[in-house]
Amino acid sequence: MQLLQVDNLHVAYGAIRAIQGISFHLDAGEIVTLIGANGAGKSTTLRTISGLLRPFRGDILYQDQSIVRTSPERIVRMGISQVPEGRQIFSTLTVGENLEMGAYTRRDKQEIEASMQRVFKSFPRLQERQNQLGGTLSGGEQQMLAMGRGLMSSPRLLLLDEPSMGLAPILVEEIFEIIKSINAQGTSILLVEQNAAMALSIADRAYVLETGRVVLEGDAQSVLRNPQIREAYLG
Amino acid sequence: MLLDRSQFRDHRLSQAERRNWRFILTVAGALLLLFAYALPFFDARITSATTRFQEDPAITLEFPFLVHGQHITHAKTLRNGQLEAIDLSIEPVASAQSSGLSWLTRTLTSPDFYPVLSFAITMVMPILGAILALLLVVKSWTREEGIASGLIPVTLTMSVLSVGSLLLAWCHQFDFSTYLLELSAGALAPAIGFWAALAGAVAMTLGIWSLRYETRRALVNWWALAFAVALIIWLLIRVRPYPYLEIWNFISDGIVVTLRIVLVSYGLILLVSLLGGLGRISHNRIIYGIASLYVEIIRGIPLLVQLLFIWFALPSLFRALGDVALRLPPQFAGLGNWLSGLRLNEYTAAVLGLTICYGAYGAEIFRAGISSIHHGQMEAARSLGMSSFQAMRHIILPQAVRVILPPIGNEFVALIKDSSLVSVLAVSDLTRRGREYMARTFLSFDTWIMVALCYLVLTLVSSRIVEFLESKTRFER
Repeated sequence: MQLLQVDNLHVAYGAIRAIQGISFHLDAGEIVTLIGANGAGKSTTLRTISGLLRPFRGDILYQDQSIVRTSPERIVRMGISQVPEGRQIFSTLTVGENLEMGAYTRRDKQEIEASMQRVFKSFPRLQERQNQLGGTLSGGEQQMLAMGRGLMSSPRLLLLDEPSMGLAPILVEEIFEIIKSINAQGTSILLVEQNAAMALSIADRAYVLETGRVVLEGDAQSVLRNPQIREAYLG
Repeated sequence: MLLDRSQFRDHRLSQAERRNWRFILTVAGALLLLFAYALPFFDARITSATTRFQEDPAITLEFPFLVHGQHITHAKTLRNGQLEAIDLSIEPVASAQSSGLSWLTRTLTSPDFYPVLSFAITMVMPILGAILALLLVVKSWTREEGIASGLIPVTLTMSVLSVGSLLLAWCHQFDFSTYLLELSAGALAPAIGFWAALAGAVAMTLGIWSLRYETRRALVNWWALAFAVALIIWLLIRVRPYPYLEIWNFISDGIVVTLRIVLVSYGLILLVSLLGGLGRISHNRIIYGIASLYVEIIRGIPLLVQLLFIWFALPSLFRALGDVALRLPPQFAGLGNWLSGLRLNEYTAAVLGLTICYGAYGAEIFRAGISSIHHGQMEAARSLGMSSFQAMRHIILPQAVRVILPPIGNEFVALIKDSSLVSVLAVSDLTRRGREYMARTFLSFDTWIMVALCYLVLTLVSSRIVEFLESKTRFER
């Protein structure tokens, strides 16, 4: 079943056309990755899906419902949660408070508590540092916090924007293991990455973006074997 | 002399270092000062003064303890008649009664304590300084870590104040008026104990001064400075009641007015700044345009001109609008009459002017503070399901406050100073009261030194409070 379908999407910042007709889809339970160089339009795509940007042409269907005119807060309530680029945790709040902010759209105290426990199960380190200020965490812990915060709204679809950015290789592997386990628990994942090798190793399918267009698509293994991709992104 | 700048730091002092001349000088000075209090300080005192005027009857004043208090009477009578002469009765004090300690205990146990409080303070201050100096040296000798450098600034301040206090204690005996000074200075010469105490205080000060490189801390404590300025005001009033007490009585209600205007407008300024700042980052072009227009226009006009406009030009503008409304159909008559009759009182005009002007500067501070928070924080909050208003309230503003607080706090200090401009609107603030007093008496120097000191106390204290708030909210980003 198709959870998300992006259809001929065009997005512009003023006169600059960042995305020029991207189409892709994501089935329930999948990990799909968008890979590409800087400025290819990956983050723009994610921000358009979560409602922060408005496309000037094209459509986004979530559960067969168009969401291009829906406000970001409504989209969160519909079950799409974004983990922003550069983590953007709230540095003046404690880890616990950051997570509570993630459950902003929810009112049921018990369900929030249950989500919190699930997050702590995925990220035991966050539980240890529950009362620490977000700004005092290390880069890897901040990424875990950002992902945990995104999971607090119990999304059906999690949008991850460059989770490996600025992290040591050993931490990147840990983060990707966690992404896989989150997916195994039933959350579909749209993953935007520059670290193509890592992203392809856990994804089901992949789309390669270049200057706002999809230049290659297919299941992750075939993209990984594609000689041009190997040359361009995998070195 | 050569100073090894880390001579006594971070180690227990050896025997040789303990006998360093700096410590010896400090201890000797402090002990000499304390010892001097047992020696005769002041040998004589004034018991009464008779003032004779040409036309008025002679006035005799009794001084059961110290001279102060005669001057107000003296000055007030002076306006009528011509002063002919002052006769002073000076009486020697029994030598047991003339020691510094005895002067001090008599002051402290005096039934009429308040009038001699300032004398008590000038007598106690040197003792406190000496005790602190001894404490500094003893701690330095016995501690594992070497010199007690944390005590150096406060001890230095206190020892400088000791020297000043001793001189003031002497001055307390006679009045600063030229007549009395001439008459009494010879008769009330200080005795051996006073000079010994002064020498001790100077030696102590030099000793501690030579230790100043042992601490990295600032030698001037700014709270102490604010306190010192307040003390100067008070001493001026006490030592020279004429004209300072009169000036003080005259301008003190102006201080209240200034503070009230500043506090009320500051509250409003915060509100206007917040709204203006939010307007300046708004994506709505109309709101952005209005906010930018406000900021640019107001910042381009001097505050004084704005105040004059509000006070003088605005009423005629209201009147003109009222006339227009009266010419409209009769249902607008009420509005027209209201507009024509609208008068701002001077306080409202002052608060309005300060708020409008400072609100424009504050809006830019808020805008800068809000923009300094990474826009990703806003996106993160929005993609957690907050509306932009909620994100602003829960995420952006709490972080921006830490950036905004230092400059907006400085605005408060600047506002205290600029509030003096409202004196042109017939508001009886501190500055205007000073001008009124000067117009009456032509005592320009004394009046403005008093007004300046009052402003200085207000600004120094509020800067310290702002600094304290900053240190409470500082954080690493």
